[in-house]
Amino acid sequence: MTDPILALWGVSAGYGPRAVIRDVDLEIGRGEWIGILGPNGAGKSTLLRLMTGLLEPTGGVVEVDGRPIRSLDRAAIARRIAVVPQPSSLPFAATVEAVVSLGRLPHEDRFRGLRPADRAAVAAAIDRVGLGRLVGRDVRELSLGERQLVLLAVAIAQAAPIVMLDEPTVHLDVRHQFDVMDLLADLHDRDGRTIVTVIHDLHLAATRIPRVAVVAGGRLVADGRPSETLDGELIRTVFGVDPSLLPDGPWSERRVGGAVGHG
Amino acid sequence: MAVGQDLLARGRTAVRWPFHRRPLPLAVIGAAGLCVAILAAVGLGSVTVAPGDTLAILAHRLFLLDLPRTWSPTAETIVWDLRLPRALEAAVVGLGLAVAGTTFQGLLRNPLADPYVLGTASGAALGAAIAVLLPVRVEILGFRLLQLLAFVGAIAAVTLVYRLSRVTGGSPLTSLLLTGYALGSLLAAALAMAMYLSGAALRQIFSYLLGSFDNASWSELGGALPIILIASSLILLRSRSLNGLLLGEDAAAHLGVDVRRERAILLGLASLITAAAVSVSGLIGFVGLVIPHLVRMLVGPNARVVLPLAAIGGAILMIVADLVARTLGEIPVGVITAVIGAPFFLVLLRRAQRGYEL
Amino acid sequence: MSAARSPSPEPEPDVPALPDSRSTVRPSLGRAALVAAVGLVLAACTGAATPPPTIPPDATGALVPAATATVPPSASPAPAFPISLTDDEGAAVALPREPQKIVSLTPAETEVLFAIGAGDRVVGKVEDPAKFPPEADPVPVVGTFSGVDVEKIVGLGTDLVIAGGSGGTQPEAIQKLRSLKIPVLVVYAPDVATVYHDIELTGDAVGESDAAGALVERMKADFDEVAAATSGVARPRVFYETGDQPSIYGIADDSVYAQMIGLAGGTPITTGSATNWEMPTEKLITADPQLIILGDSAYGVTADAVARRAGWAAITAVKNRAIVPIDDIPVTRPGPRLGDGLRLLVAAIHPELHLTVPSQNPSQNP
Repeated sequence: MTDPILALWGVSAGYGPRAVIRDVDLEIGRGEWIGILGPNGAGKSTLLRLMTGLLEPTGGVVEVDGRPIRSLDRAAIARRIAVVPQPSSLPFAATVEAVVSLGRLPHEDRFRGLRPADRAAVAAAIDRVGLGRLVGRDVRELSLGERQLVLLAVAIAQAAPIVMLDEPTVHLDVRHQFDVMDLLADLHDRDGRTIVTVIHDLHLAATRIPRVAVVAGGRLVADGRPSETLDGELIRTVFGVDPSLLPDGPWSERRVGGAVGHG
Repeated sequence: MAVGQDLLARGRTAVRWPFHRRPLPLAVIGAAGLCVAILAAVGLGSVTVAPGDTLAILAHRLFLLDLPRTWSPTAETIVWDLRLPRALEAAVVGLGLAVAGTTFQGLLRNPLADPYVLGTASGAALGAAIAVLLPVRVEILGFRLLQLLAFVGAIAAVTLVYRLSRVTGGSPLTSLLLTGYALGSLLAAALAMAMYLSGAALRQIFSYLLGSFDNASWSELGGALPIILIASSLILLRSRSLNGLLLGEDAAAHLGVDVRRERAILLGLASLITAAAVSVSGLIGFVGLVIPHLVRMLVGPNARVVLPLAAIGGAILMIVADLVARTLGEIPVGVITAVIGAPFFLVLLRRAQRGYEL
Repeated sequence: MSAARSPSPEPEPDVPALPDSRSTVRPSLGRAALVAAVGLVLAACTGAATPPPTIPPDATGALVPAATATVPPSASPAPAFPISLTDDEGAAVALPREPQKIVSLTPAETEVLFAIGAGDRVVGKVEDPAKFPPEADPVPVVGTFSGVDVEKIVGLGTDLVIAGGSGGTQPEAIQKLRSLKIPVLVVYAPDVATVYHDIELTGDAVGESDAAGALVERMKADFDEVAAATSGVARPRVFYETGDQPSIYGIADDSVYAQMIGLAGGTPITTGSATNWEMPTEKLITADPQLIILGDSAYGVTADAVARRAGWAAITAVKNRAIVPIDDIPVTRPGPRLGDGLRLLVAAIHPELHLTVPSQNPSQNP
């Protein structure tokens, strides 16, 4: 691939003596949507931390926009990559608007704070995730699903070309899961953003995400379109379950269901 | 595209921050209140000075106006050498503690944090106790040994807490808090020992612990004011980092904050302010804890707005508390701030439990 | 509120046990209660150990063998001002003219000033629970054991402040007053000889050197008389109790208490340390005093209570019920009544001498 927006070259990493990621090569093109799949403890979240520069690899190089991520300061990374975390607790009361405004931090003027353009971006992000009616509510009183949407709005307001999400659907009911995936599809199609989603729901990944990379035991064991990559043997080996694969879905021709359960 | 509709219409009230959109009027009100407080503190005391004389003395000394001398030199000494530096010192210390409290609460993501949470109080108290026990009388730039050692003690304690917390594993914030608690307890024990050995000097240590502005002077102000004002301004310039920490350290990093560096800088600045404050006024509590919450209730959590308003609020509270303390006679300022602060904090907690903002 | 306590750093927080003095208890009660409450809270927070017996500013220091020891020379008593004096902390105090508005920050100095005829020039005093002399009653209070009101002192137009050394008056207040160009003379008498010196120093400072000299002569004569009366008597072992809360407190080595008891014809039992005033019970029982003087009787300690203490029945003084209460204030106040205090001690230790005991001060214990 020429000019990937994000690339890992022979990357290994771990916490202390424990190696979690071993020798991973991964290139992500501009405007791609890739899902990172794998069983628990495979190293998906570690991979994400490597790609955002929170963790330094013990071997290999992580590149953003062709430049080693080590050469970029946090502000530079923030202008390129927005990360949607899991909802967590807040020490103080904050409205939805106040939280989403944090997305403008990388663009904020040091002295004048939020300018009208920033406020407009914040309002647009809130509307885009459909939380317009909750704009003045205390975030701590929202449901988990709503809070996940708030965090997504933060990333949207950040206006970065790459959006990374760590298990965005794990707390959501079915309806909200679809809503999030629709949002991500919208960000991908309309904005042309690069999306990297760590996700454990095989079904959602297979039916919604155009490219999947499967991580197991710290290694990249598969990378490609779900229809080609997620075959029964892989799923059996990596996830240890016997899937029934049904033809369906917009992206791939498979819809994973049956004995797998809900992922 | 219709996404994420809130299907259930829950009857929750929106967060009500009365001055969220209009912090400027609040700042103006606050500034006016501060002026009134300072004038009251300068005009009232155990000796009666006519208000006209007070204003005339101020006009004469501050603006160098040549007015007919209707006041006595004694009144001028009282107003200019005793009351004015005292009022200003109370303002500066209150300002500093409120700013430091805001910073620590944001930095540690803990609404119960106050300026003393990382051992500064215990370090300062121990430094002061040692100074009282040493048979040495030193004055550097108008600062007595007690103030110098209190300052050094506060800084040393925080530095030690910071270093130790880096060594222990786990989340840096939890590590900081727990190490601060542990070291604080250790220093308190050392302080108890020092108090036990202090003999006749016990009263001096005790009066330091309770905090007071009795010894305020222009020279003391000249030492504390620059440190507190400059460090507070530097913190204000970094309010972005403080805001970024709202969602957590990782989220802050993702929003472009160099967390490690900012944490060290903010910690250092806030500790410097606290050390300067406690070295001139002793340990006065509740201001650093309650004022940030009160301000957040009015304007929301944005540090850029909270910090200056908390500074004004802290200054006003401290001036008023000192005025009340010396009017009621010999009650330590710390007792007044506790009497005001504790019930207020309980009210805050109750409201938070009933679903309002904290 | 329990009033019995260990000796504390304040000048004299004790209250004489007389009916008409009960009114002085209540105003102090509130303040003392507040301080105690704060102290309890702080002690709980800091885990402080029990506060130590602190040395009253009136009485610590070296033992001088006889009352007539050489007095350190004071500045030559020149009646003319301006003069420069050296106070007990070694500071040079310059007085450009004779002070007309004097503030006394120790109860002893208040007594001295009134005794040498400068009482009409005293415009402010520190609170004195013993309220002596009665002529000082109308003088406004500008400070208590917990703090000095600098603003009031300035407001009175004070031109001389006499303060207590060794922490008796807060050093910060002294510094503050000096920074406002008010002369502060610091006095501190750890023994009898320095008491004389301080009286003469005060006389020089206020222009009453002659009266001060005469007072000192009278006191010396008094002490000589007592010394003569007690020479050659048997010297019983005396334990002077200065407090019983939270543990028993006696007198420190080389303290002025020890000196006075010696002059009064007794052998003082001391704690064995110059700084620690706690008296372990075992040590006391071993020392076996023949007489116990209750310096803390003003706090409500009685002979019966003492006799009931565990293990004390073995002490000779308890067996013979030789337990005597005493008014602590004249014994230790470094002022004109020190001779009275000495006589009170003699009355307790050697009643058989029938030495005249002063009866005119209302603070005397029956």
